[in-house]
Amino acid sequence: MPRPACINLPELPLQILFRDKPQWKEVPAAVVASRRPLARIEALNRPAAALGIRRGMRYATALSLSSQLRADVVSNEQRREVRTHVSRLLSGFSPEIEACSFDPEIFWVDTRGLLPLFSTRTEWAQQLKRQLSLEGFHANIAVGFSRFGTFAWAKRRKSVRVFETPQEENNATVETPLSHLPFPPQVLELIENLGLHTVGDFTALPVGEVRKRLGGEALEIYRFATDTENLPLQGAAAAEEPTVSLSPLAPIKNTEMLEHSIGQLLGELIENVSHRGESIRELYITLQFEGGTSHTERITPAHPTRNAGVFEKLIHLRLEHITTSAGVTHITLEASRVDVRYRQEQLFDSGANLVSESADKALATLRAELGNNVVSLAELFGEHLPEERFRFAPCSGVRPPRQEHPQEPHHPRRLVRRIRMEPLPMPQPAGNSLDGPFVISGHWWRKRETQRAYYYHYLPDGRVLWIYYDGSGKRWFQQGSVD
Amino acid sequence: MGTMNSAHYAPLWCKTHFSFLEGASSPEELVYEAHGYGLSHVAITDRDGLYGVVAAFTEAKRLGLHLVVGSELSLDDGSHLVLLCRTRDGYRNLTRLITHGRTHSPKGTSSVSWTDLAQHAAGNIALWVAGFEDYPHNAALLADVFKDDAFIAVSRHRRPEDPEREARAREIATHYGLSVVAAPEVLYHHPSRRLLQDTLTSIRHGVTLEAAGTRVKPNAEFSLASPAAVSHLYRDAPELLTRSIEIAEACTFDLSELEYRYPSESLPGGYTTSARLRELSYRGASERYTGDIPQNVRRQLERELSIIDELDYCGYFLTMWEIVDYCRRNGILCQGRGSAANSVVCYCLGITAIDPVRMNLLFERFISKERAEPPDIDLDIEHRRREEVIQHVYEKYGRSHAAMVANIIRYRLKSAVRDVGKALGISEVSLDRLAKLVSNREGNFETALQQAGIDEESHLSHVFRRLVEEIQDTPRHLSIHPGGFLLGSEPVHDIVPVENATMEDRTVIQWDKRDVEAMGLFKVDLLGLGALTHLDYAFRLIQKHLGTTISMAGIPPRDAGVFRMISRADTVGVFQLESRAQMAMLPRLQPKEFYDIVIEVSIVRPGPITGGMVHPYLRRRSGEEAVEYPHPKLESVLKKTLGVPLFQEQVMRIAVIAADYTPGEADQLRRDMAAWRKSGRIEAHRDTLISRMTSNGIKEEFAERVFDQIRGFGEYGFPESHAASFAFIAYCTAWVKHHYPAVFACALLNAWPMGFYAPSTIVEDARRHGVEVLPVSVVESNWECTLVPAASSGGGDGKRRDGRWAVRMGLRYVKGLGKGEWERIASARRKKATDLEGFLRHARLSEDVKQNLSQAGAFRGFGVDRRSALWEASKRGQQQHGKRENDGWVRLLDDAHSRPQFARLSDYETIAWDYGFSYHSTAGHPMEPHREELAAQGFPDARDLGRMPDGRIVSYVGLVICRQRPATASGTLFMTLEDETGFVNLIIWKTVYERYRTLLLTTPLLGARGKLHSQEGTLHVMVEEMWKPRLNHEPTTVHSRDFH
Repeated sequence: MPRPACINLPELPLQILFRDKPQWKEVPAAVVASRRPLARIEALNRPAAALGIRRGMRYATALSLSSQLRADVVSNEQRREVRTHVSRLLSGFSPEIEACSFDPEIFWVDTRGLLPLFSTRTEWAQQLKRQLSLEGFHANIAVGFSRFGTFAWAKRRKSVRVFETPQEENNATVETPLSHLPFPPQVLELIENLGLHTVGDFTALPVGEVRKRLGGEALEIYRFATDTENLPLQGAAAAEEPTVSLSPLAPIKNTEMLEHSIGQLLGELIENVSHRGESIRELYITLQFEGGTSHTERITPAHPTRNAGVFEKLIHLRLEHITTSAGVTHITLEASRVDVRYRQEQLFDSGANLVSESADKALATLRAELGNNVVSLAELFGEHLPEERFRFAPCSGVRPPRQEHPQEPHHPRRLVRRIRMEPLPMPQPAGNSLDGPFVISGHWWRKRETQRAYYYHYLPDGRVLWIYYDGSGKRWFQQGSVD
Repeated sequence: MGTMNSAHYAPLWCKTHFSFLEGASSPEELVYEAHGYGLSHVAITDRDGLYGVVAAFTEAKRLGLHLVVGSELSLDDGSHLVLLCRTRDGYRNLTRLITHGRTHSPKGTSSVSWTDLAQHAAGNIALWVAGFEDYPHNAALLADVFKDDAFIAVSRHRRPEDPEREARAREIATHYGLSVVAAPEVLYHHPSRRLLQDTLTSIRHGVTLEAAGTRVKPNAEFSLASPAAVSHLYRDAPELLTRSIEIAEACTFDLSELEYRYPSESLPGGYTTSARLRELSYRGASERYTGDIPQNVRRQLERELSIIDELDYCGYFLTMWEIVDYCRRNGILCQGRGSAANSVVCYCLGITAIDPVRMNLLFERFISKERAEPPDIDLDIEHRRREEVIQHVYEKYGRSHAAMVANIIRYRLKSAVRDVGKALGISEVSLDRLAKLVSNREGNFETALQQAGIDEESHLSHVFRRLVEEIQDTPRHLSIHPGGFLLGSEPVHDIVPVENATMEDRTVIQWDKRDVEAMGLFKVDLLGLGALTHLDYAFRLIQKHLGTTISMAGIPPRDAGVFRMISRADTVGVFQLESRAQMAMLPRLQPKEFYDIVIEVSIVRPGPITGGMVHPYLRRRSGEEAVEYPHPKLESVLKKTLGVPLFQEQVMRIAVIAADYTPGEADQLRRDMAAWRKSGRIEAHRDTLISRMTSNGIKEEFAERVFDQIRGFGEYGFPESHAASFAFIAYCTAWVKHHYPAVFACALLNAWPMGFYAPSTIVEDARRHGVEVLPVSVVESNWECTLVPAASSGGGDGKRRDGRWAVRMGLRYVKGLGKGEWERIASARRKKATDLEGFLRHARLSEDVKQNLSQAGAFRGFGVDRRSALWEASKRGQQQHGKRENDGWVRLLDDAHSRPQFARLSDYETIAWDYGFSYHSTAGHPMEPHREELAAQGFPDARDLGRMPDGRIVSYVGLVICRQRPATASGTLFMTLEDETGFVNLIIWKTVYERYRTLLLTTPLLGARGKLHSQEGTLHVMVEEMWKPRLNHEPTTVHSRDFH
C-alpha cells in the first residue's frame, strides 16, 4: 500500500524573505509583488497582520497603515532556486519525490521502504522537519495513505502527523476547510456562498454538476479529493536549465583532452535540448580544478543553434588561450535555451541577410577567441557634458551604417571638436588667447553640481583647444581640440 | 519704426508658466521684473496660446509698461515662430491661427502649416526662432508673406553651439533678404528659477532629471536679463538690440482695444432689448405677486432696469431668461444662485427664487455703476440634464459664438510632491506615502519626509522641499470650468483662442474666469446640482402617484412641521443640512423661519468657524449674551445677524463703514477673497483693516476676528444671497421629506450618487420614518426605484401624505448590473417565464450578474431561496447555447439529484448578502443580528444612548458610516457610527486618533468609550478609548463616506 508523505512549506515567499533578512522576522514585514505603490501584498507576518495589513492589499495602502512596514520582492528565480534546493534536500530522505504541479509550497515523497533507516515514520518525519528547520524552512508534514489526505492535513495543521489507518486519514480529510484547497478565488467564494465549507460538503455534490457549475478547476480538485487510484509519485523536478556534467577518472591537464570531453558532453546536451524543441542561446562551461577552484566560460554563438560544430569551433578558440597547471576534476555544461521557433521565424524576417549573418558569425568568433567584451560600439546619448555624450558598450551584432543626409548647398563646413575620453587637467591659460565663455551648468540635483565655463583656446602654433574652467573644483581642463 | 529707447532692448520672446510645464515664472513676475529693469516693453509669447496675456496686461497696465501680445507657434515641420501683434487685425489673425492649430491637433497639442501662417500674417510681426537650420528654404515664404515684418531671431545663451547657429541664421537671412534681431528665449524672470524650469521640463517629458539629458537646458542663461547684461552679451552687434525695440514699438496693439459686445437676442416685433427686458420683467412680477406688484418692488424694478439699461446689460439678462425659459419648457429644474439673488429683475424673470425686496438684499452686490463690471449669474441645473442645456446654448448661439471658460489646473501640495519627486527619481512608494501624508495633513512636511523614508538632511531632500514649495500654483494643464460659458456677438475665437475640450462636443477658451472678469466679458454659468434632480424626481413621483402638482415656488414657506423636523436634525438627505456638522448645529440653532435656514447654511462654514463667530451668534440667539455692536455705525449692517458678521456682504460693508475702505478697495477685498488660493493677497489687507478699524474706535479683538473671518471666507464663505438660494432648495427638500418620506427616499435613491450618505443609510432612514422598503426583484423592480402600493395603507405615523406607498428598490442597485442587462431582464419578463430556469434562458445574463442577482435575493419572485438560485445561476453555458453540456462522461456521472439541498441563510448572512450585492438591505440593519450579543455585553443602542444624561461615561458599538477630518479641526476626527436605531457622533481628539489610528482607519465596526455630551438635542461621545468588538460573526461592511 502506498504511504505518501506531504511536505508543506507554508508561506514559502515569506520564509524565503526571512532567510535573507532574518532581522525582519520580529517587525511588520511583507512580500510584495513589486516595488510599486499599487503592487499587492503577497504574504505577511503576524506583526504586520496585527496592524490591519492583509494579503492582497495594495503596498501603498499597507504603508498608510504603518510606515514601519518592511517589504521586499521575492523573485521567481529565488522561488525556483529554493524549490530546487528543497527537492535536493528531500532526496536525502526518499528516492521518490514529486513536486506539486499546482501549489509551489507542496512536495510529496514516498515513505515506503524507509523504516529500516528511521525506525518509525514519525521518526522519519521529525528528522525531516528538523533538517528543513536547520536550512531555515518551516514545514508541516503528514504521512498517510493518499496524496489528497496528506495534502489536506499538511495544509491545515502546523505539525507532524502520521495516519495509521486510511479511515483515520479520511475522517480528518472530510473536516478540512475548503479554503485550504487550491480553488480559484471566485470559485471558492461561490462554493462557500452555497454554504459548503468542508471537503465533506464539497465531495457530497453530484459530480456531473461540479463541472457544469463550478468549472474545470473545481472538477480537478473534486477528482483529486475523491481519487482512489493513488497513482505512483511522478518524480522530482522543477524545470531547470539543461545541465550535463562529468567527473573524469583522472584530472585532465591537456587542452585537447578537455575539448574532447566537453565535446562528448555537448552532444548529450544538444540531444537534451533538441528533445525539447529548443536551441542553445548561450553555453556556460564550468571547470572545477584540483584544489577546489573553479572557472566559468560563457560561449555565445551568433544565433541560437543546435549545431555542435559551431560550438566546438568557438570552444576551441576560447580554450586554446586558457592555461592552467591544475587538472580539471569536473566539467559542467549548462545551456541557456530559446524556443527553436525563434530561429524559424527569423527565416522569414526580410531584414535577415547573408552579409550581416556572416558579420555576426565573425563577431562571435572574435568574442570566442578574445573575450566577450572585445567587440564594442560607441552609443550616442543626448547629454550636455561632452564626455557623457557617448559610451562604448559590448556589441552583440552588426548594424548597418546610417546614411548621412546630403549637405544643404549653402551649409558651411562644420568645425569638428575632438573629445577626449577623460578631460585632461591643465594649467590656467593666458587670458588673451581665450574666446568664451560658453556655459554648461546643471546636475543641481546631485551632490556636486556641474559648473563649467568653456573656451576656445588659441595656441601660438595655430592649434585650437577646447578647454573649460570647472567652477566646482576651481581647476582648468582640456576637453579636446578643434579641427 | 521708432527711435532708440533708453532701455536698450525689448525682450520679444518670453514664455510664462502658461507655456505649460516649460515656463517657470508667472506673467506678473516677468512683467514686474521687466519694469524693475527699466524696460518700457515686454512681450509675452506663450507656446501656442494666449493663456497668460490678461494677467500680464493687468500687471503691465498697473506698472505703466507696454505689453506686446504674441505667441510662439509650433509649425508642422518642427519650426517655431513667434508672432507679435502689431494691430487689432493682427491679434484677430493670431487668435484665429491658434484656434485653428489647437482645434485641428490632438488635445493638448497644436500645430499649424506654413500655408495657415501665410493666411493669418496680416498685422503681425514674425520672428523665426527655431527650425531655420533644418528648413532654410521656408525663409523665402516668410519673406514673401511678412515682408519687412519677418525676422530671424538671434538667441544668445552662452551655449557652445550658439556661434555656429547664429552664423547660420545670419547666412540664411542674408540669402533671403530677411533681418536678424536679438531675441533671447526667456523662460523665467530670475536665474533662481532655473531649477524649477528643469524640473518642469522633466515632468513634461515624463523622465527623471537624471535621464533628461539635453531635454533640459544646458545652463541658467534663460532668465530675463538686465539691459546691461544683454548689452554686454550683444556688445558686438548692438543693432540687433536696437531692432528689438523698434519691433516692440511697432506693436501698438493693446488688449484694451478688444471690443466685446454681448450677443443680441433676435427680438420679436421690433422690440429693443431694453423694452423686451422691461416687458418680461413686469410680466414676471405680475405672476410673482399675483397681479398686485407692491410699490417697493416697482421702485426696485425701475431702479434695476434703469441701471441695466444704462450699462447695456439687457442682452445678458435676456439670455439668462431664454435659458431658464428653455429649462422650463423642457421640464428641467433650475435656479439662479450667487449674487443674482440680489436682483428683483432676476426674481421676476424666474432666474432666481428669492424675493430680494422681501429679504432686503442689496442690488449693488450684484451690479454697481461704480464697478461697471459685468454681472455674474450662476444657474444651478438638475445635474442629470445639464448637458442638454449646454448643448442648447451651443446650438442657439452657434459653436463659433459660444465656448466654455477654462479652468487652469495648478500644482497643489499633493500633485507637487508626486511630480517633483518623480522628476528627482524618488521611489514611487515613498512618493505615494508622502503624498498621502501631506494631503492628510498628518504632521509637518519634515515628519512626513521621515515617515516616507526620505532622509530630511540629504541634499535631495533640500532641493525636493524647495521645488515642492516653488512649483505650487504653477499651472499644470488646462481644464474646463464646470459650467462657465463665454458668449459673443462676434465669433469668440476673434477675442481669445478656442480649443477642443476633452469632452466631446465642447470647446473651451484659453482664459479662465478671472481673465474673463478682468477683460469685462460676460460669462454665463450653468452648474449641475444633484438636489434639483432630487426635487424634480420627487415632484414627478408625487404627480404620477398622488396626482398633485408641486413646484418649488408652490411649496408653503412657513410649515411649522418642517421646521420642527429640521430642528431635531432629522435631515438625512436634506440639501445642505444633512452633513454631520449641520446636524450637530440644528438642534442648537432651532430654525423657526426661512431666514434661520439661511443662517444655518452660512454658519457651518469654515469662514464663520475660523472667525470664531459661531458661538457668539448662538449665545446671542438663545439670549445668553446681549446683542451689541462694535460700533454704532455697524448696527445697520449686523442687525440681521445679532451683531455677528456671517455673510460676505457684511464683511465688505464693515470694511467700508468701519475701516473706511473706498468702494474700489472693498471691491479689491472681494476679489482677493475670491482668489483664495493666492496666499498673501488677503494678508495684504490685514494691517490696513485692523489699524483703520481700531482708529475708528472698534476693539482690536473684534477687528482681529473680522480679519480672521475674511481670511476664512477666502476658503469657503457664502454671500447672503447665495445662502438664501441654497436655503430655499434646502427648505423644499425638507418639506418633501416631511410630507412625502417615501417619495423623498425614492427620488433620492434615483438621483444618487449625490449628497452625503450611502444608499444603505437613506434606506435605513426611510425605514425609521415608517416607509416600507421592498427588496430588489427581477419580477417586480424596474431599473430605477419605484413607488408601489404599500402592504398596509396609511403607513408611518398617519400624517404622511404618501402613506399608501412603499418604495420598491430598483435593479440599478444590484452590484454589477448595467442598463444593458436591465433591458434583457425587462424583455425576459415580457416573455412571462414561470420559473427561474426559463427566465434565465430568456434573459441571457452574464455569470457574474446572475450570481449577483441571486445573492441580492432578486429571484425570490420565482419562489427560490438565494442559495438554490445561486446554484441554478451558476450553471455555465446554458443560456448562450440553449443546449445541454455535451460531455459524455460528465453526463454518465450525472445523477438525479442535480439540485442539492443547501443550508438556509441566517439573518446575519441575509443582511450581509444584501449589503454585498445591493449596497443596502430591506431586511434589517447589519447591527440587528448582533444586538442580542451586544446587549448581553452591556452595550446600548443609539436610541438608548440618546436617553442617557449629559456627562455620563458611556460605551457604544456601531458601524462606521462617515469619517471627517476637516482642515479647521486641528487634527480632530469626527466620526459617525450607525446602528438600527440611529446615529452616534464621535469626536476623537488628535492624541486619541494617533493612539488608535490603525483601528480607526481599518475597522468597520468600532467600540468607543468616552464622555457623553448631550446638550440642546445634540449628542456626541468624546472618545477616550476604542476597540474592535468581539462578535460571533465578522460584521457586514458598510460603505463609509470619508472626507478629508
